[in-house]
Amino acid sequence: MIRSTGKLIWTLACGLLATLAVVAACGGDEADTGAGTATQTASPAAGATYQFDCDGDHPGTTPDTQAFPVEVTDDTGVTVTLEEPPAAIAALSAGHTEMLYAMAAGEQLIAADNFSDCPAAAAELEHLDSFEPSVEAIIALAPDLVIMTYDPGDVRRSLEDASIPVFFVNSPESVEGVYDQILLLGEVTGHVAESEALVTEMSDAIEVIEASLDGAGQGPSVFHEVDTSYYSAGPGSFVADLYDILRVENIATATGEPFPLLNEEAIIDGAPDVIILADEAAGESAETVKARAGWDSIPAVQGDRIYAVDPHIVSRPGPRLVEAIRTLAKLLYPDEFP
Amino acid sequence: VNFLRRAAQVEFTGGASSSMTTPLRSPFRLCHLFGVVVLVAVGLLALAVGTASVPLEATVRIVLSHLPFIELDNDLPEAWRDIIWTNRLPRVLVAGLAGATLALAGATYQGVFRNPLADPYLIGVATGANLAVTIVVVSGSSLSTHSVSLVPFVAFTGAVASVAVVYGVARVGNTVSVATLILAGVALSALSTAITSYLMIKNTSNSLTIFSTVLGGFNATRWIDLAWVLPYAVPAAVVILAHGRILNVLSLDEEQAQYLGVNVERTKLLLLGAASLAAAAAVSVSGTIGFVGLIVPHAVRLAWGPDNRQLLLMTIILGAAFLIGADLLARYVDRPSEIPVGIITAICGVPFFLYLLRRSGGAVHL
Repeated sequence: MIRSTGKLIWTLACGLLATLAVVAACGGDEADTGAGTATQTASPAAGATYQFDCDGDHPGTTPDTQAFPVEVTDDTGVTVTLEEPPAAIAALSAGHTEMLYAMAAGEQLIAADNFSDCPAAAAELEHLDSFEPSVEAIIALAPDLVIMTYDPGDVRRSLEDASIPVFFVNSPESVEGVYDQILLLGEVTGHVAESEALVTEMSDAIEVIEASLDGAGQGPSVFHEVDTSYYSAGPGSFVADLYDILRVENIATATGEPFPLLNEEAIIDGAPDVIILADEAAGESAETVKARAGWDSIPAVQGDRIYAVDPHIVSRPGPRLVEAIRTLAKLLYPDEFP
Repeated sequence: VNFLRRAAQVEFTGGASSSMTTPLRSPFRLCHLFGVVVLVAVGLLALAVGTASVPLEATVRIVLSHLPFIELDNDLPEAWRDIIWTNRLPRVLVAGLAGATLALAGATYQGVFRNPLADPYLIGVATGANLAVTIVVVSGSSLSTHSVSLVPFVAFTGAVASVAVVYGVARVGNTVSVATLILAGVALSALSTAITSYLMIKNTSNSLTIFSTVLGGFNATRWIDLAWVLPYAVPAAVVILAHGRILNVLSLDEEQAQYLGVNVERTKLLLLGAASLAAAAAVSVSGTIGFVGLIVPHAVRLAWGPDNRQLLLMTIILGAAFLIGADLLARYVDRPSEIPVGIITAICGVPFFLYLLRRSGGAVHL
C-alpha cells in the first residue's frame, strides 16, 4: 500500500516535471530582434560580391548631423534620445563593432569588447570585457554612447546613473535581424544612407548566391557541431538561419531550440550528408570525426564531407554573414559553387 | 508492506546496535532480489527506448549478435547497429556503473563521517575534477588523442589530487580527524570552484565545453569509459562491502569500535580511500551528477533500515537503477535534445526523497 503510493507519487512528480521541462524547452524562443524593417528594393546587381574584409581599410564618413536630435527605440523598448551624432562609442559585442565599421562609423568608436578582432583597425581601440563588464572601466573611457547586448546585472543602470546613454540591442537571431540592426545603428550613429547601402549590398550578394541554388534541387542535410558534447544550432539561432537560407535540412531543427544539446543517437539516426565543425579550436577535425566509434554509417563520414569552419565568421551576426553564407554554400553545394 | 514503518522504528539503542554487529548468516536478502529485478527492468527499458526508433526485435538481435557462440544473420542497417551497440548499450552500462559507484561512495562517506549530509563530493572529488578539466581546456591543449577523449584521465587526476591534499591537511601522524577532513574538503572545494569560475569567465569562448563537462552526462559515452571506471569501482566495492559490519560500528562510535578490536584509523583510511577513488573514477566519466550519492543511500535506509551489511549492496543496485532511469529520461523526455542528467536526478529524485523523509516521521538514522 505504502510502497505503491510512493511509486505513484514519484511517477506523477516525474511526469509533471518532465512535462514542464518540455513546455519550457518548446516555448519562449519567439523573440524577434525587432524595430525597423529591412528595405530590399533594388533587384540584385549581377555578380554582387559584397565582402567585409577584416584586413581592409574601413575609413569613416562624416555623420549626418541634419538627422539629429534623433529618437530611437532599442530592443528593450527604451527610447534613447541623442542630441548629436555620438563620437565616442563603446560597442560591447564583436558583431556590432563589425557593423559599425561596415557602415563607415568605425571612426566614432573608442572602445570595443575583447572579441572584436575584425577589422584590423579595431585592434587600436580600447578593449572591454563584455562578459563581466566593468562599469568603472567603461565610465573611465567617457563614451557618449554604449552599445550593449548583454547585461549580467546592473551595468546598464549604473552607466545611465553616470549619464552615459546606453543603447541595448539583442544579438540578432537571423539575417533579417542583422539587417534590421544595421539600419537601427545607422540611425543612432548618423549613417542612415551608408547603412541602407550596406544592407542592399549584403542582401544583393545573398540573392545572387540563392539564385545559384535554384537548379540545385534538394540540398544536403547537415549537422552543425558547436562542441564535442554535441551542442548544435537550431531554430531561432543565427547559424540555423544561414542553413535555412541555403535550403539545407538542419538535423537539429527537430529540437525546436536555438542551442540544443543534441542526442548522439539523433545524429547517427539523422544521417547528415555534411558535418560542419565549429569546434576546430578544441582539436576536432575531419579525421577525429571519422575516427569516432559508431559514426561510420553517417553519409558525411562515408562521403568524406566533414568541414571545419571559422566560428568567428559563421556564428557572428554582422556584415561577414555574406562571407559565411558564401563559405557554407561552397561546402554544401560543390557542384553549384566550383 | 510496512517496511517504512519498520525502518522508522529502528532506533540506535544499545539493543539495535548489538544486533547490527553480530554476524549475519547471509548478506543477501529478499530486498536484494527486489532490487535486482528493478535494476534489470530499468536497464532493459533503457536499452529498448531511445531517441532513434530502433525496433525492439532489432535491438535484441543486435545485442545477441555480439555474444559469443551466437551467430545471427545481421542484415540490419549499420546505423541501428552503431546506435545500439556503440552508443546506447555502453551508455546504459556506464550510467549504471556511475550510479552504483556514486551511491556506494555516498553511503560509505555517510557512515565514516557519521554525517547524513555527506555525499561523494564532500571532500573535493568533483571540484578537483572540474578544475583540472577547466585548466586543460583553457590552456588550449587538445582533450583527445586518437579520437579517445582524455577528459576522464584529466578529471580523475584532478579528483585524486584534490582528495590527496585534503587528506594531507587532515592527517596528523597516523590519525585523521573526521571533522578536519570535512572542513578541509569544503574549503578546498570552495577554492577550486572559485578558480574554475574565474577561468570560465576569462575564457568565454571555451565556457560551453567547460560547462557541459562540469554539468556531466552520458551523451558521448563509449565502451572505453567502462575501462576508466571498472578498475577502481570493482576493488573499491569489494573492500567496502567486506567492511559492512565494521561500518556499522564506526557509524555509531569510534571509541566503541576501538574496544571491539577494530583498527579504526586504518579502516577509516581504507574505506575513505576506496570510496574516494571510486567516486573519482565515476566523476571522471559522468561529470558532477548530484543527489545520487545522497538520496539513494538514505532512501535505502528509510526503506530497509540502516544495517550496512545489507544496505551497501542494496545501495549499489538501486544507485545503478536510479541513474540508468534518470539518464533514460534525460535523453528521452526532450528528444532529440538532451537534458543534463543532473537536473533529472534532482527534479525526480528530490520530491521522492522528500516524500520518504515525510513518511519516516522525521526519524533519520545512519
